[in-house]
Amino acid sequence: MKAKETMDNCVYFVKKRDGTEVPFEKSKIAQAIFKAAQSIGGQDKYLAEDLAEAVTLYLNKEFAGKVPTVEEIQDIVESVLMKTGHAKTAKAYILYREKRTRIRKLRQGVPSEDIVEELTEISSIKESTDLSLFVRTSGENILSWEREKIVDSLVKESELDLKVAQLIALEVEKEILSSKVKNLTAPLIRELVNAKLIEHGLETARRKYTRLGIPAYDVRQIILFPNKENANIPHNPEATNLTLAEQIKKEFALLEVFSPEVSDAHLRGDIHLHDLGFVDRPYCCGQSLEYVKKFGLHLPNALSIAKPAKHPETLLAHMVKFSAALQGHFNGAIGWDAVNVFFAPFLVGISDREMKQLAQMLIYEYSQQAVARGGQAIFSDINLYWEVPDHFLKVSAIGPGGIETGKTYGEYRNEAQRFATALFEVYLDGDGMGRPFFFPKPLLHITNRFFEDPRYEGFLELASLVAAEKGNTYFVFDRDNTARVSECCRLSFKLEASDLEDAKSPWKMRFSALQNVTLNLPRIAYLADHDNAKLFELLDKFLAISVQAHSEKRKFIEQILDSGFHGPLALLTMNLDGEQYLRMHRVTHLIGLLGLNEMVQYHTGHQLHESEDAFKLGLKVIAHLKLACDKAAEEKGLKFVLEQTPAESTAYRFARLDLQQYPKETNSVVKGDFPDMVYYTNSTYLNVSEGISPVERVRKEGIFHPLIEAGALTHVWLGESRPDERSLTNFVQKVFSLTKNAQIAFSPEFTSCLDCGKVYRGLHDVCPVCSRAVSGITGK
Amino acid sequence: MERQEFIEYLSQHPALYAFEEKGGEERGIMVTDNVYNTTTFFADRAIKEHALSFLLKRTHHGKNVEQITRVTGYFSKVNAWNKGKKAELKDRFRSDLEGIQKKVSATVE
Repeated sequence: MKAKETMDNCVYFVKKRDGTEVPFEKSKIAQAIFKAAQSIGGQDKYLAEDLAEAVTLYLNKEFAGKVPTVEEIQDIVESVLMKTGHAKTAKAYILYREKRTRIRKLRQGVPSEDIVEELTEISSIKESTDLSLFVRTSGENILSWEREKIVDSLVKESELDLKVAQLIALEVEKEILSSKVKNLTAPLIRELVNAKLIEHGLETARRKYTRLGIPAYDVRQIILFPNKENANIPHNPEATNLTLAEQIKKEFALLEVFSPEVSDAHLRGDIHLHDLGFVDRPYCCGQSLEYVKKFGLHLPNALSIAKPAKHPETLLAHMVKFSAALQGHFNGAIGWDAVNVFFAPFLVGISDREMKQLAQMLIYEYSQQAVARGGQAIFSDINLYWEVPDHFLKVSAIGPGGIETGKTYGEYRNEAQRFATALFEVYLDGDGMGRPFFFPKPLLHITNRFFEDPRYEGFLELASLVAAEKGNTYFVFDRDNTARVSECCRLSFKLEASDLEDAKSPWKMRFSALQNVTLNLPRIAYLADHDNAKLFELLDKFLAISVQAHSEKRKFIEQILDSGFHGPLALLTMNLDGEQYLRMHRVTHLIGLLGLNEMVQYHTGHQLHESEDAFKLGLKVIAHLKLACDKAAEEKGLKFVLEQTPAESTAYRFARLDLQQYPKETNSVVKGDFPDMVYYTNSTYLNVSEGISPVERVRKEGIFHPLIEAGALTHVWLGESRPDERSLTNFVQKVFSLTKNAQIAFSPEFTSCLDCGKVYRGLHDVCPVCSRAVSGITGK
Repeated sequence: MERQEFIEYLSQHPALYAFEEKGGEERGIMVTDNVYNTTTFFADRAIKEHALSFLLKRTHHGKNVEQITRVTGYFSKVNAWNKGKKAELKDRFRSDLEGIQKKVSATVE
């Protein structure tokens, strides 16, 4: 017995044309009405829903307890539209119905009369005109017009029926002929075909047939003018190659890798999918020098293979080259763990001079690599330790030739310390002009044992001197047995029990974050409209779509990795130690945070630093997200962790999108100057312009840090000032023992004159020396 | 350098420089630098006294500088930053650890 026949007087099922019965869905009617309305300029979705409701009432009356056919429903839609005074929409609806019918009949092999007529008409044109049309193709040749090419590509790419494809091709041909277009190009034809597909209501086919590309105007801008989205990209032909490729891959990602739901959330600015132009690679990585020491450079598809290094200079060369190779397979940072510790077995017995020379080579090699991918420097980080960290203390050391030396890393403390010292001495000197090195970034880890060796004082003062003088040093605080590998702007991988187990075979310690998806926190506050429950509901909703985005990217990367050695990510599938280089089980998925300050400001009326309640709400939001990440991690079996998004461009992008979409709300909290120099405060930071004392800022911001597992950082902006290194040393020690702050960096500002070569502290518009007056020369 | 050589050099680089010979109280050459958007008057005696490279640098008016600081997590050149980041840079409250310092003096546009 079928349940539907005994039910009350409502319509529950619909009979499709093929005779099958499917549940009745009011939303489908609303959609169809809305589509028809849209085609004549209508925009009212709610009206379409009301009309669908009317249709449903009508249906229930006419077909109580029965199963109407699709045709019968469509008749009712037409009549309801007419009766309610929507004649134009009704007309559009009828037209749409007719087009669909034509296509359907063509598919079934019984074309309607008008199509037969149209087909004959068009083919007769071709014969009579003897087409002398030529097409400029993207394959760099000029071919004579062949309609069949459209048919073939439509069938292949959009999976259309042959007959439908033929109809579309014929209609396009007709249009081209009547337009008398002279310069016919393949991209133009494709767009004409797409317009035709829309006309016939073949939206799915159109999507598949999409052409990805860049307008000529944009290409000219990209080639001739600098990229301002990412400050790490110079402007040269290699860099514009990168920009152009990114553009196409970005479109591809939004069209094919991510679902329309996720793509739209990104395009609206609810969330930001970082670096879409690198959709075919993981985000960033942290590695172990031990891998290179043990296996040499044995990369898939390489032109030559190198055995494990025997000399420190060779090891250095391997490290840099491997970094460059990785840069081609990851989007962002390439971090290296415990560099001075792992170099140590190669440095026994070498002089201070040689040590300094090696340190100099390492830093210059990385800082001058702006000749690799896209003309970009390798975004590189070197993690350094003064004490040999606990998890490596008793691990057997690998020495020259990839052979174990018979000693433990604990026994190489002296060499490790000398190398760390030499590296900081080089940072202190700066580059050939005395400017700070941009890369590699030195991340100095401070653990509880840092202070054990009494000589730490001199070393900490050196690292502090570098921070005061040049700003390079990042102080990473690993309190009470937490261990982490840091890289990128602040990203770090907290080592878990299984990783500490891996530490016995340290070459296995390689980590990666697959992608970063950042939440637009201020927008959540605008949408919640001061309703607390709604605020948290929306946080969950935004997080859910981000989690979905991660699953979709992961699926795509896994698909690429599956093609293994012959695929584009062959390097990451290399297997020299019993597992794939990219250890997917250890990959993290980042949930980035942006504009917490503006979120709480809109919601409570106060910024994070302005009231205790505002600060507490901020903490509650981040704690909620942390728990939600843990929950999602459990459900999906993937690691989701919060990150303080660097948000170099996202802080600007979200602010601009919100100004367009929520102008009133955004205006009340956005930072910067109108109209376009606007930004949201990064991640969980306090307002950057407030005169909060550094100690207080570091302490307050640090309260968030334990919740942000993938890394957090507080900036101390020095500007022109040059604090005494001893007060900086004290400051660092205080932060370590009195706060929860995970990482701090001190940022001085410099102005470097390219005319006279001098470097000044602070930001200046002009060089004080070169702008000085000279007798007989006056200018304005 | 010789006045005539200077004129020759300038006329060979019309995309970079425009110039006009000036008489009057002090004879010399008025040079417009199209890259730095400046105008500079070079008296004949100054041209005579200095080398070409020195003279050309004077048309920069000291503006050939690179400003460097941390953008988010790394150092870079300020001229490459987007407008949002430049706005943040303007706003940053600088501090010397002891007390609080003034905001930046340079115009960041």
